[in-house]
Amino acid sequence: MRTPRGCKLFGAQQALGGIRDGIILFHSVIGCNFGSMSFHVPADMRDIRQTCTVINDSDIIFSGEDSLRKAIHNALDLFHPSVLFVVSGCVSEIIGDDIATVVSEFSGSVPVIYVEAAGFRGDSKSGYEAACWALLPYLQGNPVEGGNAVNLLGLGGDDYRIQEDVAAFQRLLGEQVALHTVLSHCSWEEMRTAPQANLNLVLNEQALPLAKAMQERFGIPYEPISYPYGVTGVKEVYSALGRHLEVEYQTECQEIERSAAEGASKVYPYLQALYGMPAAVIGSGGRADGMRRFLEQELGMEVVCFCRREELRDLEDFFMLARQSEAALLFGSSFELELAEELGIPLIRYDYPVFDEISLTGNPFVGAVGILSLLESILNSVMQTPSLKGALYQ
Amino acid sequence: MKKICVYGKGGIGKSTTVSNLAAAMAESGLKVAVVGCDPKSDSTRNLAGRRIPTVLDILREDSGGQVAFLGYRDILCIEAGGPEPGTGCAGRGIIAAMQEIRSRQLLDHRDVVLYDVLGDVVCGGFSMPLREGIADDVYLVTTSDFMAIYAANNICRGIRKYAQSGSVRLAGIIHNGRSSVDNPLTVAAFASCVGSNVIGYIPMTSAIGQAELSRKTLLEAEPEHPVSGHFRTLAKAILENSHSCIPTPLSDEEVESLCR
Repeated sequence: MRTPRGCKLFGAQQALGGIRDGIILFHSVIGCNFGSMSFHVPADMRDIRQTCTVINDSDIIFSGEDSLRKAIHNALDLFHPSVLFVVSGCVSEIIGDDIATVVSEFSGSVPVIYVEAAGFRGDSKSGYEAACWALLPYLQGNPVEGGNAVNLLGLGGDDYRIQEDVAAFQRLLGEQVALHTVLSHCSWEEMRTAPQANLNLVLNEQALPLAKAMQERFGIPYEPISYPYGVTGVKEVYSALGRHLEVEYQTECQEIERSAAEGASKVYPYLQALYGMPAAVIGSGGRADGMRRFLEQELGMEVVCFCRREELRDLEDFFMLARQSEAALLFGSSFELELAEELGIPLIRYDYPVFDEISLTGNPFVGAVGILSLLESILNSVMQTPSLKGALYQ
Repeated sequence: MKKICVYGKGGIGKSTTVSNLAAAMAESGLKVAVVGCDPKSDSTRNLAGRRIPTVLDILREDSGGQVAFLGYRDILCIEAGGPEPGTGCAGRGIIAAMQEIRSRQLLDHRDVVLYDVLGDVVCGGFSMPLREGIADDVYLVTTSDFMAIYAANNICRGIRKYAQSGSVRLAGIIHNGRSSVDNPLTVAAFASCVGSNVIGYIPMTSAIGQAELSRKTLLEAEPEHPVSGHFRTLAKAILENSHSCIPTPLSDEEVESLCR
């Protein structure tokens, strides 16, 4: 069996790692630290805001509580973070370290927050949810009356091109709506004041419990949406905004359509070749849905094999489906490289985790530029794959 | 070398039995070692006359210090040790301590090694003495009380698991007669049902408690006491015992029925 996603610890890391002035302290063995770090370091090698108690044999036998206490002191002294997240791993939870009590000893100005994330207790979705529950008590304020601010919930701090996509999303909102908090790509202050926004847009169901809790506690409505790939994705965002805020984006919508069409017109014959091309898509929740919609509705491709990671128990099940399909392109994460190589088809990386490709140009996958970036990736992949190259000249 | 492991319900008298057996075997001229595998670290107290530093204490300090101490009649005393109650993982501690004892070759050149293990095979760590050839013969200490027999039966399940892939065997049942209503027939019936024998009997006496208050075994404190004689008889029986088996544990209902 191979896992289609990371364990609970990875989910917690995804939710908390994007809080830019925060530090994650894993109370676990060294592998948890390096494993989770390896997923986001390719995006920015300078950004190492995580550390570890490095539990050893003695900690296991006698309890790791002293090591944790010392590591919290060290992390606070060395990093001077705005917030410190103590994320437990399998070993500390198996031996039953009283992490909550140790954490409660730190009642200084910097919040020290415990998130239980033993890998054997669940998958990355449950880890993301656990992190959200841990954040909830720290949220304060209420929606600003008459305000037009939104939060984006459900993203991972190490999602591929998150920085570019968030910037593109902000451009989509323009001056009508302010982007308040992005979980997880924000400061601790932005996170803390998330209830001041007027709407939560939920890009992944792993943030739905938080959105529901924020609605109950702060009265903020929420809208689950797919990842806004393509023009249809942008339209969905604008529709959601229109339902809750007094905004109107018709002009912006037309401009995105025009801009994308103009950019793509340079390679129009190639686009025609994509029509009907079979593709396999795997991704986490809203990302997979958004990508499928873009490929089918805007490019006319045929998604012959489709899986949401959350619904998949064994990645091998998706591999089997893909092998039986006639997919000529695969959309997924670095986890699917092996399958792409086996099938001799290109892999378009768009879903977490991406650790074997970097993005330095600042090109997003969202918005008008994002549409062209995606097209560029797809067409270049097809052209660079000998078995598919012919399709573009037919 | 005879490698013997003593299990039984918590508080049933394992440490008392082990220390007095060790004393009896040492009296007969054998080179004996006792390894306490209980985080309470009190298995060898009556042999060493004090609490000795434990293997895990030394490992934790990384001092490489002494972990084996000679006690009554040159019995080698070792305590595995463990974490403070309610913290850490005592089972992992037993595994680490056993590895350290082995790597230091502390038990080489001993005629008999007695392992005194925590009340039940609660996890993989406490089954360590049953594995990897650490012990060959297991003796279960029990009274005729239902809960003691229930625990002994549970331990039989652990022995059976490791006996099927290794050399460890159940070698006998030690009947401790200190229950308020002592029924030797119940213990004998249990032994028979699991495929074993009652290897010996230790009658109840307050003299044991008195000896232990002065940190001595009964054999050291009162060598002429009749119960000291029982320990000597038991030691002889164990040394001469050649019968061992892979136990056939009873179901919980069968244990209940047996004890009614």
